[in-house]
Amino acid sequence: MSLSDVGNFAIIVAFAFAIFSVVTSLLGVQRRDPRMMAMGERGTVAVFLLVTLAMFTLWAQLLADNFQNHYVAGHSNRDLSLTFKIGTLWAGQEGSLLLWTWVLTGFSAIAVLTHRKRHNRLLPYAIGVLMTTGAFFLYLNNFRTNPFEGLVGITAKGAEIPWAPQDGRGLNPLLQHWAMVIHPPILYIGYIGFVVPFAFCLAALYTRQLGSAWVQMVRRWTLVAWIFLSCGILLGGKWAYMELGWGGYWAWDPVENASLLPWLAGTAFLHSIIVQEKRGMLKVWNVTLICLTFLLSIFGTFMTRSGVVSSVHAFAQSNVGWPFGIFILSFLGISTWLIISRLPDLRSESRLDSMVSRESGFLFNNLLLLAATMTVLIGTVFPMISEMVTGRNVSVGQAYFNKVEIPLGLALLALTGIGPLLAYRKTSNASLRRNFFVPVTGLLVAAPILFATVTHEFWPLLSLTLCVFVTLTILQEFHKGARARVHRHSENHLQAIMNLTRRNNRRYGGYIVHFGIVLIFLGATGQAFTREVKGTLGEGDDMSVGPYRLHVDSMTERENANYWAGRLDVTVYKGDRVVTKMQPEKRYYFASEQPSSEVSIHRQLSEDIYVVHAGYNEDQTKAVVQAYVNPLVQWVWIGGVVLILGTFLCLLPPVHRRRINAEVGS
Amino acid sequence: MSTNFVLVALTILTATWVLWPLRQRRIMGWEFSSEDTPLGRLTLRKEVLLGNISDLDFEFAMGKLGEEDYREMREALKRQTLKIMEQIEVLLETGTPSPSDTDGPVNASSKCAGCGGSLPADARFCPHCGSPLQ
Amino acid sequence: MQTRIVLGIALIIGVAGYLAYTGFDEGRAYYLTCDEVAADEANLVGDHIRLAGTVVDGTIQREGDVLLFDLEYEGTRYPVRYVGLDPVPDTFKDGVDAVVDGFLTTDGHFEGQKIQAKCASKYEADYGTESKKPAGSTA
Repeated sequence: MSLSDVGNFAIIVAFAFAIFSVVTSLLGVQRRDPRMMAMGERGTVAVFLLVTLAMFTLWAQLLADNFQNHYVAGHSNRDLSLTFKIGTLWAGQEGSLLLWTWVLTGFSAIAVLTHRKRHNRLLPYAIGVLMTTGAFFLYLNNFRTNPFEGLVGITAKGAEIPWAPQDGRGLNPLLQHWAMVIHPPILYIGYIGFVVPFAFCLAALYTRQLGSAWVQMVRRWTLVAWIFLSCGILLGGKWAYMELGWGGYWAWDPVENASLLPWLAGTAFLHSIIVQEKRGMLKVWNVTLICLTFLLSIFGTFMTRSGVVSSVHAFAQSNVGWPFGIFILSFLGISTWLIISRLPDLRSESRLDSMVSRESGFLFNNLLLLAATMTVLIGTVFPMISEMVTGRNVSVGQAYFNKVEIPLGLALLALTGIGPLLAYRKTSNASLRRNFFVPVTGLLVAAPILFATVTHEFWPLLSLTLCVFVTLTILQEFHKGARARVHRHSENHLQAIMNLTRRNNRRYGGYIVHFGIVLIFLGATGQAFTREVKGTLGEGDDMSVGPYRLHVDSMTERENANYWAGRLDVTVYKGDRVVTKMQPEKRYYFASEQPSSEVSIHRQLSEDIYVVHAGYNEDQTKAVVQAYVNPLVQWVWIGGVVLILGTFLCLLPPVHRRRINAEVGS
Repeated sequence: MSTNFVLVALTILTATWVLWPLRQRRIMGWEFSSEDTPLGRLTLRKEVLLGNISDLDFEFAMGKLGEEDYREMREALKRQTLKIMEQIEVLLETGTPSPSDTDGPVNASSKCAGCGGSLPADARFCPHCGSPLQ
Repeated sequence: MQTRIVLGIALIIGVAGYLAYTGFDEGRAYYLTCDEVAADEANLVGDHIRLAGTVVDGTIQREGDVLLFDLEYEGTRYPVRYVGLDPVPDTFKDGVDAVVDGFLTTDGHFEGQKIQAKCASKYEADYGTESKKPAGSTA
């Protein structure tokens, strides 16, 4: 009896319980039998506990260097540090999918525990959806990508016996980075978080309970998923920037797109549920968007896990391709059918009164986000589709994405500024003049100044101008709100801003998120001004990049149990002043027999200096050095932090509306 | 060997816990409550309407609406809220939703398994015969 | 009112469609293996191509900032000149599967501007087969 047997046992019993939960929940709700529904609820929790057991079993094997397990042997090695051994659990296909299942069942268990007390009719159906998804992933864990398979050796007599190599193959050096240890779990929590809103949405559609109840139930879930997804995307970018050594953080790579797609659809959903709550409109949008978000999350996992991105042939070879395809298509079919058959129940409660209203602002925001989602999706899957249809693989490349997504992104940025200034239902001309005077003046002043001092290029100029415009609208909202409170409650301005933000946390949290987005756009615009040079440098050689001069002081070597490293000591000068000292490294990892470049980055708010040791020349006396100056990159990460803080603010519970309650009641 | 034993014991334990609800007798005519009831729906709508009024006040204070629009919209919201509050009161007094509740189909009101009398939405005990409900 | 909304929607879809169409024209790249390129050289000059193949052992040479090597796919070799600015990926070495972005030149070279080397998945997958080898000493 080995640890692998414990793991195998846990996932097979979990698989059985997942199916059990689907059956009892759905039967129970049909027959109105609380006992069966309770069993479905308990089954869901049991599945989570069993998958947890499997997770800890795999961790135990990783930490104990149990190389008889093929996953441990294939991804870990003895000298790997403790942190990386823990992170190795999601370094490969089998482990990643087990993590997927764990997070999914964890969310399901939390959903059950938070909603079960209320005898909620939606919950049993939601459990049905959640555990169907759980059973699907447990099927993969058990029969397609089992992380507990053992290695066997064949004896001279031809019998198979357990066999373990002396040491594992080691973790891919590119993954040996702190961001890569936490990036997959965070991204997965983001992806999978959307499964709960999706499950409640299908339940609401099925039972025709399409008022605000399900929307209110899933709002928090969606926000939590959205935080993690945003965080995961940013960490992925951060990792690419610090580890991959090509000077950027976003390349419209299919794997990156896979995480952006559900983010775009989820963002649209978060906006349009506000309109359903306030005005009972856009109901069809909401159900469509959440189904789309969930399907794109699964699709993202499918793309990254089946290898279909590199070629259609990989799809046929991969052992998860077909199951994923079938799963996505069935859920696509079910959602489409439910939405179409429930269209009469999804009628709007109010009409759109005016083009210049908050509602239409939300509508156009949704349209733009959806257009972005669709164009990114088409660009991402185009190689596969073209290969299937014409037999020739045609990819669209970064030029396509930049051409399409930059205008759409900037239109969205503009709407971020315009939308919140409009009133619900209709906005009078007088109020338009009043509210847009300051931001538009700011825009008109900023544009020529930026044109004269920063850049003549159209898109960067537009982007920076819009950043100014949106920032002004946000500041104006804070100022006007605070002024209203100062009048009414006789508070000082600072107090007023604090109370304002707390009492209207959803609105003002949203503004802070918007400001985070502005900062991210600012940082991304910096990419237009990147400078790069490449040179072969020996000790004492110089190279210039932008306003900086790099001087190689010395070339040294060092070695530890994990890798050998060749290091450059570089001093960076601006004029005669020393800006910083940098140490880019070229490493060679023993276990995996792979080289890796350790980038050295000097962070500044205005611009990063980014130096890569790209290898040696033929006679090994000089180093190939790649240097970049990346303006404003840090603002992307700062914007990310602001965005996350803003979303936390949106998650705070509402403050009671005692005053109005009393007023209407009297 | 001992691991085998532990695993079997674990399975039995989990299965017992999951199947535990079966030991209770089945309650015939059991109904859902909370958000699904007329009362739950009305309460939710009241909350939303109060929130809308609060937002409207706020937007007016910030100068996004004209005086006239504001008065008109606020009156409309207030009327709607009052109507909902009246319906809630009627519901609490009589135990049946007033006919003006138009928000979705109303479930057939539930019956007590012991005596067959009709039950208020979130009753714990039957008001007619006193038998405890789920 | 409704017509204006519909117009707005049509405008967004139209603009997005137009951008996608023109962007597609600019960014289009054909993913081809060495033998496919060799078979159709004349028609492909000037097209953006992503050339796939295996790096032939011992052909990697440095000439100043330019990197020379041969790619091979099912017996057909094709010479590549890598002139791109980006550093060559760490995993690029003899025998790896690589995809090079670039153009065909009229003198029968492939001029690469970007290199991707596939490795991680390959070295992940190898383990299973190796383990099936007789582990003699354990007998």
